[in-house]
Amino acid sequence: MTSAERRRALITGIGVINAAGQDVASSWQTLLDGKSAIGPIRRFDATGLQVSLAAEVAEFQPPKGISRRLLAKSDRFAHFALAATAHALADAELDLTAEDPFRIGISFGNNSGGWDICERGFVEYYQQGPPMINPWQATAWFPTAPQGFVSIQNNIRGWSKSFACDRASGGCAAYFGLRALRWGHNDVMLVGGSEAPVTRLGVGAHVSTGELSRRTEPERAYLPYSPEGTGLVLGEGSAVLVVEDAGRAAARGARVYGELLAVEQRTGPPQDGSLLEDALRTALDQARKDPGEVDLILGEGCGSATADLIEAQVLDRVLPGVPVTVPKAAVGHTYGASTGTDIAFALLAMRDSVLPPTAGAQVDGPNRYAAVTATAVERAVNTAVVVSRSREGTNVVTVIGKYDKGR
Amino acid sequence: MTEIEVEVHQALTEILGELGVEPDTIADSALLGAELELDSTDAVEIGLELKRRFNVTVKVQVKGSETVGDLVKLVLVEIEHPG
Repeated sequence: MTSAERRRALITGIGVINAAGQDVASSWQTLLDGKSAIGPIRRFDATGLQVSLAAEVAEFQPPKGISRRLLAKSDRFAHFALAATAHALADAELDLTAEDPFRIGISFGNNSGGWDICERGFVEYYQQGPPMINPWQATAWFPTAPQGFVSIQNNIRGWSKSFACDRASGGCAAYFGLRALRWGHNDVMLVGGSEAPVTRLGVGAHVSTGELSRRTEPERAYLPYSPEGTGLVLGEGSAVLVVEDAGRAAARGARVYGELLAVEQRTGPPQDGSLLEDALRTALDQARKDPGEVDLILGEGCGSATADLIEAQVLDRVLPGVPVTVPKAAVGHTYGASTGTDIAFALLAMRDSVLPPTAGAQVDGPNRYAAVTATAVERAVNTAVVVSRSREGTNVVTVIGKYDKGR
Repeated sequence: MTEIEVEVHQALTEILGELGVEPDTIADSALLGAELELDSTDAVEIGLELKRRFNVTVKVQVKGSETVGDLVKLVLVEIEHPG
């Protein structure tokens, strides 16, 4: 298939659940207000852990229409995915019962599985013995569980995958989500991911990666692209985007947020910035965009001074002076949900012509490696770049743009 | 009903409630499989909870004609005549 014949992928629905809000409107408003949802861990007693902060979804409310039976058999990270999917489908006004289930697919990211159910299983195993482990341990924990439960709930039967790739899990989901449409596997893809690592064991295990900030002041804990950055703060939540073939979106008169123009991935040594640079240049080329056309970057900004410097140097080389924003400073790093969340915020930035601020960007002054937005700025956004990088060297770059039918 | 019968009834209502079964559907005559829509994993979990609460080993059947009332009787028999 030549690029001229390439199928175009439009985003027609958005669903997000995160610490900043349990729907698109409230989480977007929190972000625009420059507020951070990072705070002391409340879901469990964090005494004795080296980390005391997280971005938690407080008092999660599952949407109506998802049975208590299904919720009882599944973990919190699947609940988030079920909720974000319901929101995204409603937003897209897409009734899947009227569709061919074999032409709808899912591409989700998840890094760490279902920790609530894991902890329960470990308690049952160590305190009561192996025969007493709950029967859902295996199916509810597994990182593909959100994909499975969303498939069951919505009768989705098309080509679907889940990706576990550290912080780039959601980036990989975007990469294959777009390709599933371009390869002709499906006509509609639910692209995004889910993560719920904020349990006592989950946080304890993530500490051992060395990725987490151990600061105790919420406003200084997660400082993207700062020489004073000491790591990220864990978040939880889900993001689901309805990605639809342009022809069928037009045929049903769908409202279009934007176009998923390109997703490129390169993997190599994490200290080698040339792989990110290659992914970025190739993605722009695939999207048929000049660097000068990019209005906004949603950076990985993982809060590690070393990793952020490498990333910022590449961004400065390829996209000099383009404003960078990091929603993760407000909603925590949600790993498998992070790229979907960033794409959602980029689409809202396009819709509302605003560059969203990076929470806490003013705290440590202007000494940043990248031109981080400190306050919301009214400005047209036609093209945005989302960067996702893993600890071990996977780089995923997504380019989205306003939908231009005549391109 | 005897005290223990009431206790088993109440426990079963709680266990089924935690599985997401609506309380007003839990009648003695309700079929575990066909009416309450319990599956084999639910059956395992019910068995484990009964073991925790009453230290009995009951094989919970959800594919046949077993009702909530039948399950209560099975538990009572096991409590009175273990093994």
